[in-house]
Amino acid sequence: MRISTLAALATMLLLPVAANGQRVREGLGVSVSVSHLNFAGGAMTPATGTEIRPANGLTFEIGADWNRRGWMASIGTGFAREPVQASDAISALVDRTLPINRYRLVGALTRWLVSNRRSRFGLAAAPLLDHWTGNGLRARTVLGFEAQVRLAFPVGRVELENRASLGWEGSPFSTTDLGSNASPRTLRTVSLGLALRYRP
Amino acid sequence: MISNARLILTLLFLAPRLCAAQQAREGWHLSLAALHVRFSGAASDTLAIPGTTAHLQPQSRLSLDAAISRRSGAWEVSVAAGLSRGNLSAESPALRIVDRTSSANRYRASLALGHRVAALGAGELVASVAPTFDYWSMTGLSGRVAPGVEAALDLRLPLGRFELVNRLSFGMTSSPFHQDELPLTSSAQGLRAFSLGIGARYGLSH
Repeated sequence: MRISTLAALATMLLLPVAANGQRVREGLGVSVSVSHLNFAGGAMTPATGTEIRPANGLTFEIGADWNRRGWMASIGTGFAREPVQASDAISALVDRTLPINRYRLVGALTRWLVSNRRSRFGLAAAPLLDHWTGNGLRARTVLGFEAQVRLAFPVGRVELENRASLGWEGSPFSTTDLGSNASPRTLRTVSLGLALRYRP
Repeated sequence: MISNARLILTLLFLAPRLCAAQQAREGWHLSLAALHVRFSGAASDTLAIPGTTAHLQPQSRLSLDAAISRRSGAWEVSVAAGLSRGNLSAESPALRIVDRTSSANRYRASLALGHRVAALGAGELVASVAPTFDYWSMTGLSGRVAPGVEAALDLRLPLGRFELVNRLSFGMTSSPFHQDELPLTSSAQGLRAFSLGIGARYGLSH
């Protein structure tokens, strides 16, 4: 990594949080969130170019966090249930009788880069652990990572937060599930969500 | 090096902007939104798969909307145009098939009347109702105009001269299909659309 890139990253992290007026509440908070997931990857059949993955859908998460001096550490758990989709250039087929479940455990470290009494903006790094189950699938636990952008708006003790994230994780499918024609691929996720946080 | 310097300058520039006092909401605004639209209805067939009802409808997709609005007190009027491009899908309780070689594109115009229903800190909640006029362009079918109505709830949060908008909406229009273009066993139905999305509003009057 070039020194100039390191300098830019260091500046972002060390940039004093711009403060104006009321301080953002610090301490413990709890949150609930809903996000729309768009998946890519998962598994591929090279011969036909067919991609097999969970269908796009919603996920729900609850979490707890600790906010202090422009940093926020959080831990959360989430659930998503979507059918399996197989698609190629001609068609996409979603088997609604084969839902797969995702149980998530995620930790995140957020750096609030800009903060004032009306809003704050931050970047987060979130390592995660996903447990996938489903009919006909071997239960599988995979490691992953999400990079998140967060924009939060305090309303009294409550905070509304818009978040966008990019995620990478191991495939929810094993080679045993897929047979010899398909191979597991990294599952990529783009998600947009809304969270509600309460800070007593 | 130049791009990194630009990044640092952007952050330094953004900080005071975000700290700036909220702009008054009166006057003209421009807005852009990206919405995820989920359709249901359009056409149904109870005979194609015995014992079940299959639906033919536009696939769920992203819609891009642009609007210009005029605010006066708690009321506002806006004119919007939207574009959503996607395919057709056939659905039963067990299966959904999307034909990626087809196209079912929607071009929308609407005129909305909105009213502020609540203040949430520096933000606000605005409810609106709009007659809508959709033009559907579909592969192998003639174009069709489908009038309808849409109700929406906007959560608007101030970001300097901009506002971040979280939008939830529900709309009903006539079917995008002509009955005579459907198989004899199918019937055209009203199309329902549920949308969730995010956008930005920019105040022009300051």
